[in-house]
Amino acid sequence: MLDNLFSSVDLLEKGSSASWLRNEVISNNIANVDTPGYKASEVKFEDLMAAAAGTEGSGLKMAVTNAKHISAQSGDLSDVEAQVVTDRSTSERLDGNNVDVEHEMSELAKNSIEYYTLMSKVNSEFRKLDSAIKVT
Amino acid sequence: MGFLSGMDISASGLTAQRLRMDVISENIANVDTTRTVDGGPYTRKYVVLEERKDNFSDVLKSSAEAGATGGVRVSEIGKDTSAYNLVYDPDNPDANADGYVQYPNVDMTQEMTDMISAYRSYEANVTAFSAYKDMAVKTLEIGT
Repeated sequence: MLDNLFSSVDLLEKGSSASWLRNEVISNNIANVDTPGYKASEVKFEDLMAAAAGTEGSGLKMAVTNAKHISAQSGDLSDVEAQVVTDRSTSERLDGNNVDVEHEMSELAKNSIEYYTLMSKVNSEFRKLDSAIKVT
Repeated sequence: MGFLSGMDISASGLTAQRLRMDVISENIANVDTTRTVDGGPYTRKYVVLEERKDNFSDVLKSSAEAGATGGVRVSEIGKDTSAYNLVYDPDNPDANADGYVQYPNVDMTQEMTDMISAYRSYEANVTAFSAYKDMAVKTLEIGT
């Protein structure tokens, strides 16, 4: 029990790290909105996480009811790393820049809320552990 | 990247947009300047921006895996080589033999639209900066 006491906190931390990285990437895109030839980057994380958990698409997990069943889970969740991808194939303007400010601003707002959610989840996780420890 | 280095990204955007604003202001202020130290009328200036990649590892990282780099910087302040506006005004002391005065190649409409563009980009960077700051504050509240 004790070695996975913080497992959900670790997963939440992974999510918030990805969210933090996404915030930096979005900031960089916004800073370069007037840079000729700049191509916007974005962070891929949720898809990779869903793929690793085997819950891609339907959101339902395949059950493993027999030891001989093949699990749909393709990897360990803790091994998933956020990836920064750059779309070099499109151009938003004549100068070759493809930063869409509206998209970036809405992503920024979305990402902040996501981060806040993860932070309050981390805090509630710690509160739960705290109350469990203090029961006498 | 350090804990608050993302703020530098937005700050570099703010600096770049402010410089754009300065250059636009200079163009507008000199829209009727017919004499400069170099001789001839004032020449319109423009700002060219580029991605900021400070060191070898940044360049290597961005070409290898395309990560978040260090924001933006001004690569040059260029001079517009387009022709000056000729205005017929024989009484002007700067008029040439045919009575034409060379006025700066500053287009007021273009400067005004550039100004709004710089202003909005500046605002976008401010928003990104505050989002980053609020997130950092939330991080420091973990476990409190």
